[in-house]
Amino acid sequence: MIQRQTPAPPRAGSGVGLERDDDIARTLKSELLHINMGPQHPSTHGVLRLFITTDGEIVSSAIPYIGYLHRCAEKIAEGNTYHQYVIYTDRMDYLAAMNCNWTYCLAVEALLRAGGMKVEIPEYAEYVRVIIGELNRIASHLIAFGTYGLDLGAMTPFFHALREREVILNIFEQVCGARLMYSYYDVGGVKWDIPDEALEDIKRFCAMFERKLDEYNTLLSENTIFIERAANVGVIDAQTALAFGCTGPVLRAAGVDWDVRRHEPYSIYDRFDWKVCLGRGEKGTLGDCWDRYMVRMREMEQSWRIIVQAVDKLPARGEVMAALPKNLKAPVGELYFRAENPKGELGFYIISDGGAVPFRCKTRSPAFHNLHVLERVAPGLMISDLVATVGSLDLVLGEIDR
Amino acid sequence: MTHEQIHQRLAQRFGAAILDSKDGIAQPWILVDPQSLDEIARFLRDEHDLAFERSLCISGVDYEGYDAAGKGKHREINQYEENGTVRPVDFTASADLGVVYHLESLAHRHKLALKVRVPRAKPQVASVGAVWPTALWGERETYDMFGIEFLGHPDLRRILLPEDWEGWPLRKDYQMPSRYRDIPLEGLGYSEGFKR
Repeated sequence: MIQRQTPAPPRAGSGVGLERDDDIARTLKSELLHINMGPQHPSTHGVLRLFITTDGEIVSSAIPYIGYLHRCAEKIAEGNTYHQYVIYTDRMDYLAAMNCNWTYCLAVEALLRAGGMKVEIPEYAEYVRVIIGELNRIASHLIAFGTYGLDLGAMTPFFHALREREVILNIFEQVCGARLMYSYYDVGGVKWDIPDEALEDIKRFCAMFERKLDEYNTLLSENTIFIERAANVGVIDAQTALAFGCTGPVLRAAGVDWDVRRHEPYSIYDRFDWKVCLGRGEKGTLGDCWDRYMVRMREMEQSWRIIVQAVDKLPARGEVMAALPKNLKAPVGELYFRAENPKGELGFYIISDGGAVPFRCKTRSPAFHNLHVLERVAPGLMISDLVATVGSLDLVLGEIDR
Repeated sequence: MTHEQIHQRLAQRFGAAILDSKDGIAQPWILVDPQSLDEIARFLRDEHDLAFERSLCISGVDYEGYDAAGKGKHREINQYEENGTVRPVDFTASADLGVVYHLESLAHRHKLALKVRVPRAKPQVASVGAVWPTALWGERETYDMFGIEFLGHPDLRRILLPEDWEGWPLRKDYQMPSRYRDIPLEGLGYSEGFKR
């Protein structure tokens, strides 16, 4: 039997042999704890793994590990024609598949135009694209709003959010037959016309939605417990946001007036009257979780305004597709095109060498860079505040991993 | 600033490190020397009249088979013969890899595509992560997919693929391995390439 040479240190809190608080601090063995948060964790919004090092309740570092949903989208792009790749863009941001389709189609159209081809999107199709795209933006922000409530312990807003999202999904189902993976946009326009019933539903949705926004704000935005959890937490200032490539609501919540729809208008966004929503630091610091949350709430209102105007001005029914060759070959050239998605700026960098498939098709995913900033803001947060911060970034792992 | 002015500014300061420039196309670009990329990046960010404070997108490119004449030769890669067997591909080791940096200045509202080309045998580029922190992850992704090494990067690991994955998937000469650990990948249709 081995004899113990030195007496065991006294148990923490027993008070035996300890005369001063300093002694307690010296005797207590304190070390950092490593925890995996995810990949299967309800608050990580998908298969995100955060490798967290904590000192008690305080996070000293959080390193994201991604790639669990990697599907080689960029490799697949090199083996598919421009039309065929549209369905893969659905699977990037699956909560805003319409917007992903749209951005990709806009990128290809811009590439065709740059090569001297004539691509004239019919006026009617442009309006349809804006209406459907903005509806999807509302649907995506509704999920962000609902799940953010869930993250912070508020169950009810989620059901309210899904109730309204259901109306939008029903509209999409009438328009294209699918509820999640739409592939509705195509290079040159949209695939089908909107049926009359769906147009009526859109008008009914517009008539009802503004009241709903007030309801959400009463329910969650102005809730004291919610403000306590979200305000002054996970502050991302403008300089950090720009340096880490944050875009979309994360950048605007930091007070940077930048929205591609306004500052580099694509499609027909310059014809509508709407505002760019910025964070104002009303409840705490500029760029905190509450600001990011609130920017999305206000953007829903602006999207609603755009839809109302677009439905009003909708031209007489006509063609929904531009006349393009069936075997589409992009002229030699390259282009980086970006557009404002619900999560931020989605960009496509397409290089064509004149073939029927792109030579290279790089996707610049907004959530990928929005997640990167977490490495910077996480140190010093409480674990529960880390959950609040991850939620406020509105990540979609399908898009991060591609 | 117009593209020509930006090119002039860089050429004055860096001289021989600015290798090429093309204007008058949809997306003008400047080709620079990969070894002095970090200095050029710092200059682009810090000069008041340039002020490229944002790095939008970092993309690796494998120029193997790229044909500027527009014949689309690269589509021969991983093609099939009539009887279904894979057509062997002859790769020249000389074709370059490249990295393209899309930069933007919100203050001046101008954009720039900065390009570097590196030989396949020794793909090394100076990291710009210290200038634009965004690039840290963009470079990790480029390393992951193309095997391009970014000198001075503090944490150059694979990001999307498992850390023990072999090969650089987005290179044109990539062949899918037959196994990953004890998982067979043959017979799934992947290792033969993408059938078109």
